Amino acid sequence: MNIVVVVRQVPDLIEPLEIASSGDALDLDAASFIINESDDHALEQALLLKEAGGGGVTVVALDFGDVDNSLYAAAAKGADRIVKIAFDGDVPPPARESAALYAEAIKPLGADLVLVGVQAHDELDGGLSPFLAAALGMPYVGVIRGVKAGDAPGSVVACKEFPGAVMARMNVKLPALLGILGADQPPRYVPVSRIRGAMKTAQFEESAVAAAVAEPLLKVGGLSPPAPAARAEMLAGSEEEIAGRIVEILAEKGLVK
Amino acid sequence: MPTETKFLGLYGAIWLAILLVVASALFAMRVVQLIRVLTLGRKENRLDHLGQRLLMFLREVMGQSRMIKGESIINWAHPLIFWGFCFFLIASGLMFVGGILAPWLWIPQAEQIPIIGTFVDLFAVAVLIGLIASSIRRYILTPPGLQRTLDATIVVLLIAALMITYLLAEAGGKTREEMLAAQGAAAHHGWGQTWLPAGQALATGLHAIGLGSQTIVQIGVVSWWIHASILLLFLVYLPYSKHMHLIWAPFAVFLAELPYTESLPPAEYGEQKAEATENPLSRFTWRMLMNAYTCAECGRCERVCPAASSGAALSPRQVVHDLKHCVLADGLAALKDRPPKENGEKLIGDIIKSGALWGCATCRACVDICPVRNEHVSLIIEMRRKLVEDGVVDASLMETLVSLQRYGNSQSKSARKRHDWAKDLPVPVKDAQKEPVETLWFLGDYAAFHPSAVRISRMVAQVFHAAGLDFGTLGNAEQSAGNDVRRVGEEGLFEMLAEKNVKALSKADFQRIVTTDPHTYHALKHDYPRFGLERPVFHYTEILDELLAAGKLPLKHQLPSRCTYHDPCYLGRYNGVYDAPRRIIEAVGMKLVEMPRNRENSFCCGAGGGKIWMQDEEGVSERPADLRLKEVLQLEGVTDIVVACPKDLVMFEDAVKTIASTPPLCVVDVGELVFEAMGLSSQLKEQKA
Ligand code: SF4
Ligand code: SF4
Repeated sequence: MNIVVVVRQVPDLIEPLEIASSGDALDLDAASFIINESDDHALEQALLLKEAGGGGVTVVALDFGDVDNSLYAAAAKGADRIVKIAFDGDVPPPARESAALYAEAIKPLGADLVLVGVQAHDELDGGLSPFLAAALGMPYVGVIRGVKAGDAPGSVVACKEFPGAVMARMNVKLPALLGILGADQPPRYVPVSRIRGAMKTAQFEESAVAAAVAEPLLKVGGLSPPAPAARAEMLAGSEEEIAGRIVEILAEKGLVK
Repeated sequence: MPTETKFLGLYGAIWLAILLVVASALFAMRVVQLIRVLTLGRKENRLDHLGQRLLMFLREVMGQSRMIKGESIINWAHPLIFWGFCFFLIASGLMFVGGILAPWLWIPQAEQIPIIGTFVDLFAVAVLIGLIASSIRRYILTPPGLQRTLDATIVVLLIAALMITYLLAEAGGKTREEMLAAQGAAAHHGWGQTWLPAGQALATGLHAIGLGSQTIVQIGVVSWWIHASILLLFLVYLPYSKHMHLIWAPFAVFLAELPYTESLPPAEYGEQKAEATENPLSRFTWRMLMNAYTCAECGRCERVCPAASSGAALSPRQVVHDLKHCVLADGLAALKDRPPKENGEKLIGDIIKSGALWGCATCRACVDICPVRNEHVSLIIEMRRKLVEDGVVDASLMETLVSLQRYGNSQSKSARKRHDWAKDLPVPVKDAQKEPVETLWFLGDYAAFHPSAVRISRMVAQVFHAAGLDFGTLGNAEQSAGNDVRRVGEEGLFEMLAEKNVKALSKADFQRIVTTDPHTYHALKHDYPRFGLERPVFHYTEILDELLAAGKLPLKHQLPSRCTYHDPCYLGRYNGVYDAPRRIIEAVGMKLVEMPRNRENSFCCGAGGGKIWMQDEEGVSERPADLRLKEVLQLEGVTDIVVACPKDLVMFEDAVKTIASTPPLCVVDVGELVFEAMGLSSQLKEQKA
């Protein structure tokens, strides 16, 4: 099975985010980027399918952020091919427009199965996966938690999660694109020695996508930091004063008389 | 000598020589085979510090120091057997040389040499007593972890037979001498001068039960031959038996890791690694493989292991035992170019379960108690390296390792917030990359990020400042020192962290390093010189002790409570720092009451070796930190447990809630004691007011 996985970069929320002086974007110099979590699951799912039934895994990524780190890690985990889409914009375009870029890079790869994370925390206009399925002309199922090879050749069985933790097992005829929420196992740990090894040996194929990036239909008007919620009141003073104030507050709230 | 008589036309001496040659050849063949198995392992230099090694050998092998300080009430039995054995080695050497040369040349025998003869005679009795005592322990009062094997029984019986036949031969010799003397012959070869109380008593006893002198002499001759045969049998049997430790242990001690050194061989991976690692043994160093030969299965390591005590799946004894099976089966197969024998089962993860390997807190209690200096910790870490390579890592450990890869800390915090611990401190903390400082303070992750430990770091900063110490930090450029990263087996990540830290340190101007974290201390002191760190490293208790001695810690108050002190493994057992913290505790006026397990016998809190990042395994009934606090609760009137490690603080603060004693125990840090005693807390309150 020839599996293609899309790997995206998203801002790391552990790092403090800053708004650029333009007021409508993040300050990209201050941000750092990591692999999108559900794409990481998509990659894990692809590797599990490959390990169970053979085939190859190709990772496709936009050349943006700290993507090389994620790609070396993917190579170290066992991805067979890495295709990097040349990109020189400031920010990756929204899902609908980036789907066109990815589709062009993926089409020549002859994928049986395309796996894409079903969500990313920087998405504005919905998930990338359905847009990409449409652009590739492939059937699509989203919110998948686990994929196995199907009984019939050329098919897979995907577990789809519905609200209320209701699971459905779906036979999916290939080629198809699946929006992955979680892999059968959490993404594996890849030791640094392997990543360092991959840095020396892994080859990235550059894909120069011909299509110009379309003008996004969606524009950000402005960003602002979340307004702080009501702060706690810190009681100060002597022990008696603090105790007195606590009694007052309890009385105000009607908890004591 | 009995060998002067002829059998089948040849002197007994010739027969003895033939037997000796055959037995020695069989012995040598097996030993060479076992040494060749060791050469399947990786290289490791264990011939450094020869003087120190010789001393260790004299103390622990010849002096039997580890056996004597051991936990068992009859711990004198082994030294007795051992020393007896040494004397017997001399006696046996003389016996074979004398026996083979007897028809042509007289060589004195042990029992003919005054003093030596008496010693051997008495030792034969002592060894018999030792055997009885250790058999009572092994077969009647069996402590947990001590194995009752057929092998052990055979060896005990053989040694007993050796002693009895020796004494019988002696009795025969004595009787023969008396017969000769009665016939008026001159005292022969010194028999008359040597006092042999046991041999003599036995001869008298045999006479008393009605045996004639001639019969006793004949019993003596037969016993002599039986004794010689058992010795040769032993020689052949020993390297095949569990008791091969008798051969290997002295070498193992001489070639052991030295206390207070790095002791963990770097991993081999990538290009360095031998292409085919089909053979599971090739990832271990030869010294790790040697553990398999030296284990006496005494079970001491298991009895002191905090993981085993808390119900985890780990037994260090079992780890060594399983390694032995694998080393013997796969190693001998590999010598014959056959595939590994262990039925395709893998040693790491299958035979020794990953749960057992992850159970280890790397506290080194097992290594320190092991009478033959087996090295469980480096062995377990080497096996963890394989688990990490294969991605067999529990979810919470994986999260931590990913955080360390991304942010350089174990706490999933932005590297840009590392120096936030010092925000709004009333004293300045210099940036050592911007201005020279005398002492560079390397925080470590817990001291920089964990709220409980940050509280202590802030106090220590004020103490340092008040004592006039010229100190600074690397600020946000510091990353985790990686001690526990290395010990969970993620060597590549450790190297990455070490390289980054050494680079950051190279941009700073300082004379020495201090840290509050014993794990960080150990890594910087022992693991970092390989990466180019050359400055001396101190634990803050050592620096505070130094300031105290120099009169630079003006202590204003005496703290009244009764406390106990918990020795952190990486400060005590790993680095021998026991007295500095105790001197500080006494200087601040606290009454120190020692726990039963203190100093080198300290009981680990269970945080080390990355355990603090892992979920508790199944089967853990009581965590080591809870067990430790219960030990504290046994101490009369003790209200505080004093710690000198940020991880201890975190572990024990948590355990205080679990055991919920009334009144609750207070967990206090040495730094906090000094802060209070210097009156800095009231000073701070006044400033705030
Ligand atoms: S490893 Fe050492 S302490 Fe443990 S059983 Fe073997 S000899 Fe005893
Ligand atoms: S180092 Fe400590 S936890 Fe690990 S096996 Fe030895 S005694 Fe047990």
